[in-house]
Amino acid sequence: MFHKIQTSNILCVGAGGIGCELLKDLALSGFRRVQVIDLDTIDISNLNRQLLFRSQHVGMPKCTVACEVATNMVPPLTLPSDDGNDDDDDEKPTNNDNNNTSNNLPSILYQAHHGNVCDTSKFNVPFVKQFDLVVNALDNVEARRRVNRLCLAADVPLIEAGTTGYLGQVTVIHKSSGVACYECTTQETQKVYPICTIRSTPSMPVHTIVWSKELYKLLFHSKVDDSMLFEDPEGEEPSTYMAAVSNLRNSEEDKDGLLFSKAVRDVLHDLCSTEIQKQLDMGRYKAAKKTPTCLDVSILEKGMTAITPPSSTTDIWSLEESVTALATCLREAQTTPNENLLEEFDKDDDMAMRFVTAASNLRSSVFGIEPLQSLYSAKGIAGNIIPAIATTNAICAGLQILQAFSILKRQLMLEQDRSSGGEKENGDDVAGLQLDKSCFYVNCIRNRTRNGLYLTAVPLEKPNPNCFVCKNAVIPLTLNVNEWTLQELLHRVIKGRLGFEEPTLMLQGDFIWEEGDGADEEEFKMNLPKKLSQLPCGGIQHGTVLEIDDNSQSLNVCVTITHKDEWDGDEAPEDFPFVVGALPPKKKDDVENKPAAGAVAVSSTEPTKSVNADNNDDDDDVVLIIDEDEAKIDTVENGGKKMAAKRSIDENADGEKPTKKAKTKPSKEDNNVEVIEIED
Amino acid sequence: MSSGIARGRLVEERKAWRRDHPYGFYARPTSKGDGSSDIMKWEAGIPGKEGTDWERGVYKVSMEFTEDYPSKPPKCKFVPPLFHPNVYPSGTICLSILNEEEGWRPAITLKQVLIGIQDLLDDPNPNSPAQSEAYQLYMNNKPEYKRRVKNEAKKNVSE
Repeated sequence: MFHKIQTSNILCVGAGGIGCELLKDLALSGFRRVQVIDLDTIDISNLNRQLLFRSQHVGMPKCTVACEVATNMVPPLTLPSDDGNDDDDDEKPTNNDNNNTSNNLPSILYQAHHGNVCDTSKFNVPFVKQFDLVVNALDNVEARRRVNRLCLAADVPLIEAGTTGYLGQVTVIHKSSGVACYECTTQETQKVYPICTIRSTPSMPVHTIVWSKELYKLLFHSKVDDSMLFEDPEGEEPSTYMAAVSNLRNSEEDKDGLLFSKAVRDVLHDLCSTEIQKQLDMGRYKAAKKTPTCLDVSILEKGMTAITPPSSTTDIWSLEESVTALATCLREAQTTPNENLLEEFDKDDDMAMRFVTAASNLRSSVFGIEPLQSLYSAKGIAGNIIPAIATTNAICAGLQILQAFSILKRQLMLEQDRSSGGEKENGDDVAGLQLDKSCFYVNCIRNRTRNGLYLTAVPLEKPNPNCFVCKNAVIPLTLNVNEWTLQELLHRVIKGRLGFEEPTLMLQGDFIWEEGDGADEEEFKMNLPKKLSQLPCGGIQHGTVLEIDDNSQSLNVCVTITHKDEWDGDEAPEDFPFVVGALPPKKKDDVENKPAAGAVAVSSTEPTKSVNADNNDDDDDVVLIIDEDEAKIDTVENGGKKMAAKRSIDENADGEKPTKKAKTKPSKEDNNVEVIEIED
Repeated sequence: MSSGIARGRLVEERKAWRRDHPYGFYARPTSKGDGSSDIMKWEAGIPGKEGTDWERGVYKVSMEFTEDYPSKPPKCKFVPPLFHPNVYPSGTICLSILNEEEGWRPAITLKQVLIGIQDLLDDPNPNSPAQSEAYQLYMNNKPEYKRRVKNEAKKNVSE
């Protein structure tokens, strides 16, 4: 067994919080062949928990340093029969010549790949195939999905882990063992909010913060229609603020800034007053618990005339101060050269953060949402920051190593079986690793269970029959085929939502889109701006089956399209380009009521049936509204299984319950969730 | 679905080609001009082998498939017709693996077809002449034949 450990080839994806622990564990366990992928460089804020790094390493690639340090941790060989080899073992990663050829042992080689695992040219299926197993130490869902798909395609066992604060979990994914894959249960990277909650009926600070981020995009993004708040000014009855927004976006620098100030004032006034009043007049909020109130004009005027913006990051700004802060941000943006202006909100950008704090507080006050946030606390929500705890990382990494041992043991047994049994029939292969019998899904929890345990292990789950990744399930998708363009479909759903990287699209057995290696992109470019129903080969219509193929992931799925042009509720149809059908991974809780990590091991494998609008507490199937921004904001080492996507800080307390089965309280938001029928 | 065996196979051929294809070649379904492809009709480019008189040229071939593919071979044509003993004046290529009665087998992949055509370029089969001009020169006037071949290569230098 020890020989197996020494000779097996391990891929470690990520060299951050968990990665460092993992590499240390691997090294001390005697693993000699490890490759590490990480794209990050070491930041000073990493040093407290990423134990392989020291202050002199700041700025260097994590993977390189981690490999170097871990290499020196590999215990020297002190085999009794082999004295003389037991000292002087501080090889560098590049140092290939080694002194243990006598044992047929590979030299110690911790090899660093500084790059993104999503780079299809470097890290593809053949690359993954060379490993005995892959361990994940990632901090974001996108990369996890990528590795998940690669490992499934290569049929290499994957040991997945994730931590959030005190919570953590470790699981094993292996295609031929018939266990659930990462995407069987995980929802998308996106934090999901019903779009109408954001646009019309916010009830929590996080809603107004999301709204402010969209507003940021609306004002600064080069593609204004990327914002959830965008409405075509030429369209029918655009919201009142659109004219002022266009005006502000197009405003030129004027000498005394008066015109500009007026443009800013108009936008704020329209957003916080005119539009609200219009909605009130339309009776939108009749049934609402709290009726919104328009922002007092005098506050607006006072805020606009004040010169000094608030500077405190921990105090809550008054409404006037918020107006001033917003105006200041806009003025700064006006004078910032375009190339230096961020198109999308970034929590680490000072201006963007001030903008979002101020805008969200104004909106919160309009909607009577409490509490208002200081810049600091808003940053926490906007960035979704959860503290990473070194101990949790260490525990999870340790658990991963134990799983690795289990896997290697199975592999070893299988090898021995095969060699002793000589030319065995395929029957042996069919038996395979059967990791479902030897590996477990382990939860690391904060409050011990009734039996006094801090770790709970349950058998690995069966694959979700509706998982399009490992079960090739058909994906139901509902949208308006007369409004969506191919570009939108590709960008928002196929790549954004479903995680394809180089999709080839086929209709009726003919290609309508190719990209990536060897693609004929020129030919298909003309399809991008077309509405789906206008595409060639009959177009995408109600009932059309669209085939998506991705060579880079060895993934091929079908999407059945349901056309819907009228949406229930009082939202105008153009509000819904974000709405897509429920996805196969169906443990979908409305984000607000998700009991955070409590949801860790939901284990329903019922296929998605139909959903209907009255069934609000059926949290399994909800139509999701994509908030695309959130995708990238998955900080720290969170994002593990199922707890990946959605959590705001204030839910943490709730999340630490060691419940296995999540039960979601229906909330008022549910009413705003668009629900569709899914063809069974 | 209107697609039958032929289309399914051709989709697979396209995928396989994109995954891996020989250097200098191209092959793709033709465009219908409306942003879709006609999977039954392909265009391909075959590079002349290095070190032969055909080198540096890339010769354009059209491949037409029928619903009977892969039971029946595709019809392959040089466009424009090529100066070559085994190419008919229409451009149609006379090659055993492209002949249903001779070497064609359903298992032959598109890649093998194109490589087969590439092989034919510098290794004509004098037993099945298809155009008299190239055949006569090939048999009776090698220097002139070579000159003409080099001329073809020059005409077809890929941009």
